[in-house]
Amino acid sequence: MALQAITYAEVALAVIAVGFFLLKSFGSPKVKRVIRQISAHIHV
Amino acid sequence: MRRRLVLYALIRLILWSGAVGIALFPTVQVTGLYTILHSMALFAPINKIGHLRDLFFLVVPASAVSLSTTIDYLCAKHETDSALGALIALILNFLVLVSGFVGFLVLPGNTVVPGDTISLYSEAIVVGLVVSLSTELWLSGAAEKHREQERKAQVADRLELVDLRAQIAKLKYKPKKSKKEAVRS
Repeated sequence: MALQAITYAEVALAVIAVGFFLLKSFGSPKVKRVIRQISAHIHV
Repeated sequence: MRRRLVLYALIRLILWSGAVGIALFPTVQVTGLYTILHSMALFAPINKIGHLRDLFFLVVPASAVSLSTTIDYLCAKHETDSALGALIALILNFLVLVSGFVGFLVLPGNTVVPGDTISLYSEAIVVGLVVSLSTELWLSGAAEKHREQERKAQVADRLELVDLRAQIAKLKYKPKKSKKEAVRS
């Protein structure tokens, strides 16, 4: 059960990552600007 | 630039495959390569001898390699709009690592899993491997692209500096007048 939940979570996150990538590549300039602003706040 | 990028991705792919292949080797040795090749399947023959649990070890080096690449990418100081994607990749790879550990704990050793539940375990392993390989190639490619851009910027800066030096040298250069010209003036 736990393994199945983790697998579903992985698939869901992978779909989100692909969606983010598509938005970054083909999204409107406003969407791209928002993504850039969010990314700029991520510091490690 | 594209050729260099493809070569870099190929090296990463070889390293990743090496890590997974070496982790797979002990299980294949027990099962027999001929049995796997003959049945054209990986999970069923390994499950038949009760070693399906060992296949969860494949996920661990794969996700570890991808995790190190992701952290490397996030820690590098370059301006990028992929940081959000890299953060998602980090969580994904961590989940893959956890799935390997959970799968190993859930499955008892030396047991044959019934046919209808084998897909649950095989899906977890396959999804983990696909996710780790794709994030590894994507982020290592993105990091190489950034490095290439930085290299190009450095070369452009150097060329600009050389041009400036040449201009300064031109301004400083004053041709000496010959004796005849000096007499005429």
